[in-house]
Amino acid sequence: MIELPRIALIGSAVALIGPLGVGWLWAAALIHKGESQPTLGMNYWLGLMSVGGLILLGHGFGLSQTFVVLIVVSVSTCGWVWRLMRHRRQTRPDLKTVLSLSPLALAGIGYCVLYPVQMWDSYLIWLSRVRLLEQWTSLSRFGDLGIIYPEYPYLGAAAWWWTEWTARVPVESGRVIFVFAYLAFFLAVLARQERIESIRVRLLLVFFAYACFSLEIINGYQDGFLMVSAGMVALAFVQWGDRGAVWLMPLAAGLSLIKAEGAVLALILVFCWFGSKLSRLPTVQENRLDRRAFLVGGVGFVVILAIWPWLALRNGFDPTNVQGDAFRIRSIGIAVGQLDRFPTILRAIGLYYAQRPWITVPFLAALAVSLGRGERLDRQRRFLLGFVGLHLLFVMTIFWLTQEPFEWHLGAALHRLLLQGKLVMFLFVFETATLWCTPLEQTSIARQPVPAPQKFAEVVHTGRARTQRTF
Amino acid sequence: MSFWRRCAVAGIAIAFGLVAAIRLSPQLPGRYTALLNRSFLSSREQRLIHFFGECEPAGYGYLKRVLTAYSRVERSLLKRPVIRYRDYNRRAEYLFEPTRFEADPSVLVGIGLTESDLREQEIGNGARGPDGLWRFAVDRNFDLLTRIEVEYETASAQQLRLQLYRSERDSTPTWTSVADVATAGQVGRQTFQFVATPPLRQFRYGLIEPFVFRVDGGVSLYRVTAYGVVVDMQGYRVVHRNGGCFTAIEDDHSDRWMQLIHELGGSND
Repeated sequence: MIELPRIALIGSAVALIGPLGVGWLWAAALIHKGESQPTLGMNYWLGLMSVGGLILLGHGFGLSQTFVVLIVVSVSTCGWVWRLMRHRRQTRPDLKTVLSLSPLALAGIGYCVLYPVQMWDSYLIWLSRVRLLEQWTSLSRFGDLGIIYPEYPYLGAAAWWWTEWTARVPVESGRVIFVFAYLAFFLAVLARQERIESIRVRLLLVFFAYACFSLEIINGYQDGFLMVSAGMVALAFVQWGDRGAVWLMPLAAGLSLIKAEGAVLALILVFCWFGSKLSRLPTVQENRLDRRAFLVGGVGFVVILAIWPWLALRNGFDPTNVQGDAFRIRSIGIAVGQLDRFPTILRAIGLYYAQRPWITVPFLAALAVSLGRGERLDRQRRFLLGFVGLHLLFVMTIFWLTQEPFEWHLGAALHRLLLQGKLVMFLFVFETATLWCTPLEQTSIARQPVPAPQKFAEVVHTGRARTQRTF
Repeated sequence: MSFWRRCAVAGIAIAFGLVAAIRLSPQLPGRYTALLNRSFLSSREQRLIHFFGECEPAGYGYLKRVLTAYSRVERSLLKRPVIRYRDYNRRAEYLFEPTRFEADPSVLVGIGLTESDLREQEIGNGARGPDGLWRFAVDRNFDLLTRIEVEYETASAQQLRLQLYRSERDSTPTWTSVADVATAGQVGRQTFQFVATPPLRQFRYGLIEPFVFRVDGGVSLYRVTAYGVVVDMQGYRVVHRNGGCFTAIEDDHSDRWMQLIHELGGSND
């Protein structure tokens, strides 16, 4: 009986310590640049992405395991040293939130420790990468070993490997990082509204933390992690806005290292953010600082987006091979001929949301409240709504064009693809509810722009002033 | 009380609450009953056996036993026997630590396989589409396709031509067979066998799409049935069996695996 708590404790401790250490370095860098410090939840996710990214890069480039481990340990240690020596002040989740989420955390950790990874291809795609990282088998050999879809990226699996390998716990226990990443998202959302003392807003957050949860998020499959990561990037855009473009755009591109469709999600996120306020364009063109930030961010975005295709090419894979022949359309005629799939796709999507009223009803209510009075939405919600719409379009396009057996593919993948956009839907609901539930003076404090040493052309947070009359 | 102390106390209280809820729940769903089992909670090995079984559904216990004996002979940590299931490749190699990715065909371990899976059996009946193609939706792997049986109405046609495509998207047939079906004087429904000689090997692995037959010849077909073998045991000899699980050795390698045969023979079934 002693074995279980020991595994849970060591696994959880390692899952927290490594990524948080790297996360502190993100905090240090942002503070150094005059940006506001990320919240604890955001810090954790930034660290987790960085740990996974470092391992993926090191492994992909054929560096030795010892060297990569040393790099991650050094970076994490530096972060902790900075944290302990220089800067201790940070938003801390309050006790009520911690208590209300702790049953979910305990149950999630319990599941990860007790339940082995299921023997089904979709899960083994990722477990196989964890196993190959245990042996540090070179990426170029992935294609010879009969593992499933060797051309897939594996940032999440790399972070998973790091946890189980460093903690010396059974492989399934390493999945606790996905529990923590999920909870980190909700803590980060709450921390954004920390100065709002509305009990209704807090209850809403806790309700959604439980309602949005499913084993798909923590059982090792990567759609849940992609969902959390897309939610975190969206939250970061909402929080840092145009000022963060220089680091948020490359960060968004990091989604492409989790799963193949992460690249599309990253493009949608960036497109929606900048498309949500086109009137910024002339001011950006005129302002040198703005131009430079977007240019550097754009270059970073493209570079990170190009990492996986480059690594794949370097290791003998065809970077255009996303899922075998699934999306190789031999003629326009085939795509046109498959247009009759749309009614079935729409029915399946409708059924999916009808079976999940706890997200559908609040989302539709938030949509009705936001659009009902005919007033202009603030930028944050335009961005989130744009993402939800384009993501839905992306999902429909996948099933329209797939060359896999249509019914089978729809049944097997639709729920997982729709999962990826769920936390952005939640963010839209939460943003709307925050405006709805809280007094004007509190909202304007919470949603005020981050302080900046440099003067930007326009920091965009329309905030309550315009929308207050709506409610 | 400090923040962290309060957190710890609350965490312990919640943990006790969860345990109490599980313990005291009168109608515990079946999937959670294992949580009350002490051995399930105390040993990972027991948990893996609980989920993957001794022999079925995934044969963790049996595979572990074979691998222990196997690794005494084969020193490479990457090699493993070929592992075969009744339906499809479940990739049991990921279960083991260290992972064994390189399949060694000289030893074959069958999990949840009956005698009928080693002999010819009906794969299924085809469904005729509006385009005249016969589609076979099969959710299992088959090593061999042995023959096709067609049922047709007697007609004046002399020949039937049968073409097999592994999937609808294939433009060239994998197998073509032409047969003379002229049956002078006979009326009513007739059957005819198209026998693949030799059988089509590695016939179906991991394909989701139906395989397809095109039958030409101007006769009315009523039924098309495919026959095959799930696991082709030609060239193997079964050296140990435990219920639906067995170990087989390739004929040419019996000497090399003598120790494994002894160990398995000596273990308690």
